[in-house]
Amino acid sequence: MLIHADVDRCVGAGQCLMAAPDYFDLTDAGTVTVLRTDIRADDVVDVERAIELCPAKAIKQRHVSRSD
Amino acid sequence: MSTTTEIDISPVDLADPETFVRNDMDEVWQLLRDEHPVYRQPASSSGGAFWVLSRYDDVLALYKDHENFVSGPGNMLESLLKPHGDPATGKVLAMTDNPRHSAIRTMLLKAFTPRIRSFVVERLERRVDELVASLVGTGEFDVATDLAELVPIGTICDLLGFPAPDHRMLLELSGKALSSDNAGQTADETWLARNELLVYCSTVIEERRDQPRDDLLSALATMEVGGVPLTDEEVLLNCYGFLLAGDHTSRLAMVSAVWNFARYPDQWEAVKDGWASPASAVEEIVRWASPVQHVGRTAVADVMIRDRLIQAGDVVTAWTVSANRDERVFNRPHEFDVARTPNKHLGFGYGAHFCFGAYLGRAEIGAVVQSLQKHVRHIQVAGEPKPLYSTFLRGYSSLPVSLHGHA
Repeated sequence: MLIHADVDRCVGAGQCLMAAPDYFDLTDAGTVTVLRTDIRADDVVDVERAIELCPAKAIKQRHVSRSD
Repeated sequence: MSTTTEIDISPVDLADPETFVRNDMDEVWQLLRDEHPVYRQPASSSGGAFWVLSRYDDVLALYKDHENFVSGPGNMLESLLKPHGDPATGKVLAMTDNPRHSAIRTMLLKAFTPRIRSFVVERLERRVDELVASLVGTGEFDVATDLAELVPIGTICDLLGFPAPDHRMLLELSGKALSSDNAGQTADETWLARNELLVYCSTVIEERRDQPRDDLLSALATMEVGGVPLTDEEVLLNCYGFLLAGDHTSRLAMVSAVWNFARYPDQWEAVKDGWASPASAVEEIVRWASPVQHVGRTAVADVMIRDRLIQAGDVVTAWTVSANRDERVFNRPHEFDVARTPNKHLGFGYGAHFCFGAYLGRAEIGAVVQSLQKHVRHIQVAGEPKPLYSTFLRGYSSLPVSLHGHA
């Protein structure tokens, strides 16, 4: 599972870094930056919460197969 | 549509708090959404004319377009329609525009660290759980004053770093400062309360400048934008802004939660028995309650919204309460559905000014839902709720109930 954040859609609400601080932060410009793209099994719930809470739907999870 | 009865909304003055107590606002919003999505409220004794947006798409578009519609001159009718506006305009986060807004907001979001959040939320959940447990089986009490009122102020004060013994006094002052609880409070009384709050805050700010701690107050007091620290006044008004913004809104949502669980027993069952998650219930409570009824912006350019020309300088209001009931977006919008999916309500706003305290607001409402779920079997309403008197806030200032436990 990989995380992708669309900076153009981001509105800087900051909800992702509240939900999953190990994975998201804001740049000085006030938009999202992804700190790590691979999701640890223990953190799946937090990352899903971050995706759910983003008002701009700027964060997506991508499923990747092993052969990629 | 010629068969429908024409409702004339021209006597409805959306700048007058009485309007929201006297009318069936669901009907008014329905009419505006269907017939006058970009409505011009004429000037009245309450102030000058302003635009009224009631559809979800238009409200969302206004939130997104912070280039053409700014917050600097004010963000609600009360301040926008007054000749001298609000003293906080252009100084508090909610009434600042970019690039300054984004710089301050980002620094504050970063200061809202996981350590502070877990400290604040743990104390919050304990406080709510003890409160709810103490109210179960004790007969009639008022949800607004005996439960909801005691939750947010402590939480915001924990976040900012105000000492616990001062929380009560801050609650009383903030209640008077927003002047929405009681009709008939004089403007002088409101200003007096605001001034007292400001004086108190400035003392604490000085202490944090000298000896910063790990709290948001210290972050504000020591913050620099482009190498320049915030002025005392800016720090102070921002603290005060957080107190005002986070207190009433959360209280109204909590009262709404209890009221709606009592009115819709099937929805309460769904929460109590775990069919619907507390997180999902929280979103529906915020959509349904929409404690912030509207936000206001000022146009800085001529802009078309649908077929109407908005001119530079015009005040435009976006009515979240109506957007959150727009049947173009929500299925069965007039049903309280704790399992509603999707639920992209605008209860916390959207875009650059998305509610800074949304995380805490959700935690507060969630704590109430979870404590009710844990301790309460049945919620019995013991009297009519008393609607709030405000054009800006929406909900009840009193709700008598009794809670019956599981035993």
